[in-house]
Amino acid sequence: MEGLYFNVNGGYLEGIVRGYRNVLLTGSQYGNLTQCENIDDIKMQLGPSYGDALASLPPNPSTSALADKTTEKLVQDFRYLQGQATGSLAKFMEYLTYSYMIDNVALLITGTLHERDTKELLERCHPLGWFETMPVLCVATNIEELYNSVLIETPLAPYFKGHLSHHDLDELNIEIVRNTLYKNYLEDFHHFVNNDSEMAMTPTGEIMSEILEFEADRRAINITLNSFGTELSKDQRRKLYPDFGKLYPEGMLMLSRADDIEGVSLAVSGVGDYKRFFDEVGLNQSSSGVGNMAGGSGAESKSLEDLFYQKEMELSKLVFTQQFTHAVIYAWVKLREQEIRNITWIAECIAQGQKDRIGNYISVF
Amino acid sequence: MATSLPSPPLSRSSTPGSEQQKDLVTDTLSQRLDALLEQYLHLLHQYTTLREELSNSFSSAFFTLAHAQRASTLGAGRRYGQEYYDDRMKAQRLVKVDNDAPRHGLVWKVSRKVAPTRDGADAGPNTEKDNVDLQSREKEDDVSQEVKGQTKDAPEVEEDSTNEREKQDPATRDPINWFGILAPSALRQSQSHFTRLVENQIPDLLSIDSNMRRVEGQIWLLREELGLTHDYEQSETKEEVEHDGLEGEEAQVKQRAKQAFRNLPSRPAHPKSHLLKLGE
Repeated sequence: MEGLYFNVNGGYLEGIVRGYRNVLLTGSQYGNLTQCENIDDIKMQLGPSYGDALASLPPNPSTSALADKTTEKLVQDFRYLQGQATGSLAKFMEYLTYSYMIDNVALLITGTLHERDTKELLERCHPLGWFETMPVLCVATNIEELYNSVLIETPLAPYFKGHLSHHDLDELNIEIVRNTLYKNYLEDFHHFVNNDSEMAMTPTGEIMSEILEFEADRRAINITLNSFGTELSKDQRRKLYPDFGKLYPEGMLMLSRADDIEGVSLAVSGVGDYKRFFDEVGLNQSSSGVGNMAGGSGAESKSLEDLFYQKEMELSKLVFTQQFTHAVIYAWVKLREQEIRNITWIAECIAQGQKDRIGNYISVF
Repeated sequence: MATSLPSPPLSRSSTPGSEQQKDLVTDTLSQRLDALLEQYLHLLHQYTTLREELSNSFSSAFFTLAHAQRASTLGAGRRYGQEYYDDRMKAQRLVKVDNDAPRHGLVWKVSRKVAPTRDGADAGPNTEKDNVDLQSREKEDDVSQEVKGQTKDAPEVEEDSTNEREKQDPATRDPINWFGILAPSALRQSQSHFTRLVENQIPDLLSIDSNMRRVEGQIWLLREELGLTHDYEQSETKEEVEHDGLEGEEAQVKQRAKQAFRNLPSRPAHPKSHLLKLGE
């Protein structure tokens, strides 16, 4: 039943996104990329997928320039879709941009704290997270001011509720603001896909719930792992975990009490996938003694972060087996983001002459 | 090695008595020269080993940085880059060049300007963070030059800054916090790689470099005393040709060390070094 009227508003966009999905880089194309000798070769290999987007790059561009241009292409495609979207789909796509807004807010208030030139930073903001009052952010000196003068006008305003304080903005508080916003954003998004009148009882709610739950768990785990040895207290940390997810509530509670990697590993052992991830990287961690994403570990081994990305990509790929759902757009954006990360990684390995690790990209097609 | 050193011309001596004495002096001088050359070879070995270590460290530092970029906690598509730098940043390392030990040439030391505010992280640098983007992928040969220039600046910067911002000096904060409190461990690893480079490897290399120059100077003095310099100057052109014929690592090492000597300002009397003919 739910698919009966979907195509009235969503059919065209779904078709377009499925087309976009078909030009995502495949395993064999990644294979070709890894054979490249320099960044110019990569540029040429990317020609069919990225077309003119890379044309303006200078000869042998830096990897960050390459990443910027590939991101630009993603933004263009996204804007095109957004221009066509109506109703709940338009709202859904807006939700997608909120995460970029949060990143931009964090970037700008960090810049303010660091006495940086605002203009320069505004150029560096992610275009998908742009909002009109963004330039004003640079005058805020504490969280309350930040809220009252700027964020109250933005869609992020509700995410601040109950978290206002007179604390001055310092690095710790910025991190707390960033993660609190993200937590509230995820919860709101989760609520939206499950309760919106147009989306309730459609596959979108079901699929998006699974993806968002995974995202919530991943954030909680990453926050915990990265917080060891920092000034973030356990109490502060607990407040940053989203109130849903596969780990919620027992796992999250255990995470909030974890003191080390073993503690985290124990907390996530209730969920099969996460337990497997930790088992797979378990050896690395005990040998290197550092948290996840152990960069210096063996060539073949994947870091915890890689396994999470892999899982995210598998979930996103599965979305395309469903029809009549907005979730394909979310999945496509995530797949493209990973593609950009992969391209940057391959380019970085080639630029640095570290070809033995070049295979660490994540490809699911 | 010793065979390559031409023996001093005998015709200079006038009386048999003084000739004997001169021979004796020459022998001692030659022995000293040999000892110095041996010392020099040891230093050269240390230098090449350190150079190799340096390039390995640089590559692992940049590689972990690339890893951190991939696992960025700043949001999708956000990189750990210049946009997060603190504009008020100040050098956190001091360079001390010690000239009190004439036996070892100049001794370079890099130390922390202040105790780190936080003992959780094993490092608190900032100069190397700047390097990440500024010097980017320079050839390793240039890197030591660059760092030399940069570290020399450090003390001046420090003097300017002592008066302003006594309390909560942002310069004393661990720069990794610029990128958020929850920086991934790959970024921390990368930071500690760069810190080790700036604090240990580069000063060690510079110290050895200076020691090599000192020994080299002594060798030249001895050669002058023995009247050998003339022979080296003559064979210079021949040597160039031979060098071109050499292949592989040996030639590279020779070429590199030779270049290093050529750029020495402290020895204007002998613009070109011939020490590296040692092996021939």
